[in-house]
Amino acid sequence: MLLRRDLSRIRGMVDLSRTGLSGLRREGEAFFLGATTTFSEAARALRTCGAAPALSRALGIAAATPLRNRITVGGSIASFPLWSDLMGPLLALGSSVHLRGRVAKTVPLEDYVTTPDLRKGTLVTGCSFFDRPWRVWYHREVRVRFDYPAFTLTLLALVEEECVKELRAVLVGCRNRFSRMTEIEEALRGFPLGTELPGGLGRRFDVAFSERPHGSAAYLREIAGVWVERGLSALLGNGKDS
Amino acid sequence: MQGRFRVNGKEALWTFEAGATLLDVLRENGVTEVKEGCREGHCGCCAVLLEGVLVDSCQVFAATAMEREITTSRGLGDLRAPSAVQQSFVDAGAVQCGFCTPGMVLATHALLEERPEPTEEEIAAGLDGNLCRCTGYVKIAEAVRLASERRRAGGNCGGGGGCGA
Amino acid sequence: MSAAPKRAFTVVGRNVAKSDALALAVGTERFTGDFSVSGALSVAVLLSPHPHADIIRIDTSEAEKIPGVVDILHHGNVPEVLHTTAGQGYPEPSPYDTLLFDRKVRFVGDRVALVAAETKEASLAALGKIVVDYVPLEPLFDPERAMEEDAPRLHGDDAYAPLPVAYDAARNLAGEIAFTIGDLEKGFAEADFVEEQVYHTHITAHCALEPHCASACLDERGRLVVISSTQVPFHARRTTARLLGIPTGMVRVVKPRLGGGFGSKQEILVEPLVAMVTWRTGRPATYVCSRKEVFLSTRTRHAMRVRLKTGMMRDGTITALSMDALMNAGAYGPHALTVVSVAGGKSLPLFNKIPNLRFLGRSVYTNLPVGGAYRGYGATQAFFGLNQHVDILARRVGQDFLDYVKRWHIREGETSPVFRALGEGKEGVDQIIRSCKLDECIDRGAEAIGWREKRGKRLSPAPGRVRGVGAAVSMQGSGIPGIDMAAASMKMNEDGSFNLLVGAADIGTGADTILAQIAAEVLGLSVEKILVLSGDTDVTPFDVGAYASSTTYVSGNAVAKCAESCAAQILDVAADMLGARKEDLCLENGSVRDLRTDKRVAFGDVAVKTLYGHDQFQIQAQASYVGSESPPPFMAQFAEVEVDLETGKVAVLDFVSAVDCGQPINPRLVEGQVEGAALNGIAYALWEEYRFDGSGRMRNPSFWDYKIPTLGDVPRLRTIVVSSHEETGPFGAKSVSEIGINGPAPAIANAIYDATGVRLFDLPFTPEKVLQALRANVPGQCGAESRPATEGKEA
Repeated sequence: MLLRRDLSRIRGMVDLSRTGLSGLRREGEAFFLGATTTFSEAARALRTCGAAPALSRALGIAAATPLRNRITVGGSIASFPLWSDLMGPLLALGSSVHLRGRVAKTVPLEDYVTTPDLRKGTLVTGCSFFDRPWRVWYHREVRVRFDYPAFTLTLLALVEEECVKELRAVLVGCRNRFSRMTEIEEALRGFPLGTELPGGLGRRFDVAFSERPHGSAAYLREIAGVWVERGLSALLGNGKDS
Repeated sequence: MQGRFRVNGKEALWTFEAGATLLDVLRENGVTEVKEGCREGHCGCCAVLLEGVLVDSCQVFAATAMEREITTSRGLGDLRAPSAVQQSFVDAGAVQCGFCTPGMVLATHALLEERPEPTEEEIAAGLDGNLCRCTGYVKIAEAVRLASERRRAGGNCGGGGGCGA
Repeated sequence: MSAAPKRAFTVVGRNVAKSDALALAVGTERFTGDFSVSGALSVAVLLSPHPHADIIRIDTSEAEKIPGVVDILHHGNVPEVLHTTAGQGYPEPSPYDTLLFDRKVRFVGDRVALVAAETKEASLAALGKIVVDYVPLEPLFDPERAMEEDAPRLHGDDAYAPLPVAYDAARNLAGEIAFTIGDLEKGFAEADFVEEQVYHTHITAHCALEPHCASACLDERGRLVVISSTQVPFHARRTTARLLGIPTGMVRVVKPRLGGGFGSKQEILVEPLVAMVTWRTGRPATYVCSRKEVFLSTRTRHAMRVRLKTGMMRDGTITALSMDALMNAGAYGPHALTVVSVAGGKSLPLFNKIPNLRFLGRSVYTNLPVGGAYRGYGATQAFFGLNQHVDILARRVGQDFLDYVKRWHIREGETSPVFRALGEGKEGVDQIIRSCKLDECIDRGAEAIGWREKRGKRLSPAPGRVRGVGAAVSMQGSGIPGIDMAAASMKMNEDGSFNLLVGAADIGTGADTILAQIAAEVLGLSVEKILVLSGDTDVTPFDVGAYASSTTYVSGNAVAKCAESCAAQILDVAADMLGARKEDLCLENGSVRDLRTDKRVAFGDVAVKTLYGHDQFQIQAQASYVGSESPPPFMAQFAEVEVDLETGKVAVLDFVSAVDCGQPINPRLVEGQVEGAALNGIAYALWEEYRFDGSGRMRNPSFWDYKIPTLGDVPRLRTIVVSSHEETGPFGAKSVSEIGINGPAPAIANAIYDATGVRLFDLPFTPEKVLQALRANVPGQCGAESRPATEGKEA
């Protein structure tokens, strides 16, 4: 499915895998992932340095092994397929994208995916993010294990003195491609761990879905709410499952 | 275009369309143990090792694979000296129609190279891109565990009769 | 021929390695697409974008100009030969309603034209240049409407059934069979409870990993040689020759290694296309279906609606049962009559003590992808309904499902009138059950799943999750009695080995291996000494092919007979060589031993003498076999599920299959068949689905959206093989290849009910559907009668 276009008229090919844009680099708390790093390489490197577990988890389960060995971080960012496992954790981490070409600068990933102008004539050379001691919870809504997700949910929580200092909640796969669920994030700022969650959180974010093979728009909205509540419970210490 | 390919240690110079997949170029040149099942990167029947890394050859441009070591199931072992993985698939009864088997063998090999003693979850992850419709995967999982044991006990098998048993 | 032997088996019942396993694991074995033929033309096929349309014009002039195009076929330039694509005995019990290329298209994916060109690119480019003018016709998608007065008609008056079976193209009736025993109205009137429900199964695909493919060429003398991924080499030869208008003897069909069939390749779809191109052009031709073409244009499992109505006494006695099955044939009718016949024919005999019984089975045309043979072959669909229905009935009278089944199922020594009433295109055959260990299957399976501990307990490991267990029982057949014939021939080589030639098709099942085991057992040889060559119509004797679970029983019996004939010849020669009496000789370990003197002579010495020594002759034999009955295997399957009450997701935690297949010839291969079939059945229940848009176009012809499991999706899957001895089978064997797929869907449905009190009557059990049913909490999604309030309580 990656090679669907008619390639009979291409004039030349550049093998990006040989451009040296691969690998994970660390500078203090800042991490840089080269664009040609494959999902497998990125997951392995992140696990080795114990960084960004949300990202390594999502990258380690996306698609399937032979595809993880080829899909690149840069390729996935540039094409941002609706079914990407990469984007939720990257957005939740507040990542930036490094661009070359017509626009040559570093921009927040949120801007890159919402601004078509930033995508024309530009090449993604990598992305970067800061890792902090986030508590992590990740869910991908799939039918069977090897499946593209109908949506993904990334929840990150920074906890200080048994309270939520900061919460990041990102849903990818809705009609607007992604949603930063600020209503949830705000509702739980300062929340004391282990206490009862406010009710109705699953209905408290404004997100619309399109019908997918996994289910109708209404069904997806409903279970997104179920999983948000389950994820928050698991993350914030009410002892439930994930 | 023309390019040098190294398959199972043997070099060849092949001519191909620039946009051709590695799957097509391999099969056109007689490497038929690499199978075509879906052409969409989903079934894993076309899997090869590219510099030791498991990939679906239908999703790789042949041009990207030039000058790089390509390993197929025939590169892991042959009829007289099958690899531990191949013999384990036979002994565990994990081969029915065999169409998925070369890809499964390579996935298993790649898994065991990285994780010599994989957990159930790691086996499921390592083989998550290989479909099988005949076996229900039960004996395939047994074959992977058997191969893991045998490799840890003492390397590849020589000769036809089964490893270590 | 299969009297229980006095000695223990030496080869039968052993886990002999599959003879091709190593070569498959290494990758030296060759499948159809692996035979390179130089200069072969590439074939591409134009498919219909319309569900129902007349073709009023095909203009291939631009397409012909594409460099490399050699031939273009369409309705205007191929002989019009009405046929069925079904791979069945001749004359087929399926209607002759198909042309290679027709003036009408009847489903999205129907064949319109074919291009043969020097390269694949050229053939695809030319395909894009073929101009077709269609006049769309009103399509028909709802099988319940198909026979109505004003329904669009799919087939004309020229379509016909070659056998005297019910067929009425004017009413879109592709096949019909019915019987009645006793007096249904009386039976219902006598009953304390009348229960009526409607069950629906859906269209799914086989997903054999090797796509349909074939290649054709002319040999040195101009005969047509077709290499094909076929389950039915002999039917393929016959039908291909007929479509080309050439004698059968001018065609040779060879089946090499084959990458899975499951019924999808019991069909003659691809061979005539390449054969026609080769015959017309003199050039070799190859056609490999794309995965999309396999989904759209090959064959599917038929969707079926089964209405079950039962009358039952308070003590559980069923006084009357009516099964009304309506099957969606799709646009053409291969297997349309026989699948619906088997639906009743293999399900109803299981409960053989019902005095008033009615079966009506109909198949109707619709403008949808075409149904064909698929493992289970109608029994799967019927057992989905029947097992749920029995679960309902047992609960109604406060009995445990397993106890209820054990009370009422058919037993050794018993028969059922259904065996004769429902044949497959011809009258059925009476038979008495000689082997049945269903009770042991039930008991051992129940223990393995933890039935007593879990049934009705609604264990809940976590909030919002609840567990249940359910079961299903089934039977199948072993070949079609009086219809399926198999033959074998053997010759002895000078080293004491044998060539065994069989028409039987090993489609990955290991048929070659188990047939060798049977021959080896008869001859007292090790299995490596039997060299099997199968599935070549020039070389091997006739066999109907791999379907109806016939290979072990029918082909195996032919092999056993053949080997016994060779054994007799060996004994004659050995008696002479040893100066002994034949009665004192036995065959063991590749030698003939004189029991009185303990002198022996090796097979090799016997062979050398016969080939080179004195009064030379070739020790060889041939044998054929047709079954006079079809002894059923029996199976009990059990599912433990966990239902997520907030998302509707159903997870299968544990699945147990307990099977009585007679004497297992190769227990590990038996397990392999059961495990594969069980997982296929689980996927059928939960994940697989053909999704259509409003114009009958299938929206998900790809593994990306047609979901089948990988290793990580497999629950705990256990197989218990319960041996029995079927005296008419080779060494007591019956069959096993289909039956495992019959139980999972109803067992899961029954388990979901056990967990939640909600019953799902139509497949598949997608999370959204389950959630809706849970929310509605109306037990019965689409039953004709809604259930009274007592349903849903503990039985």
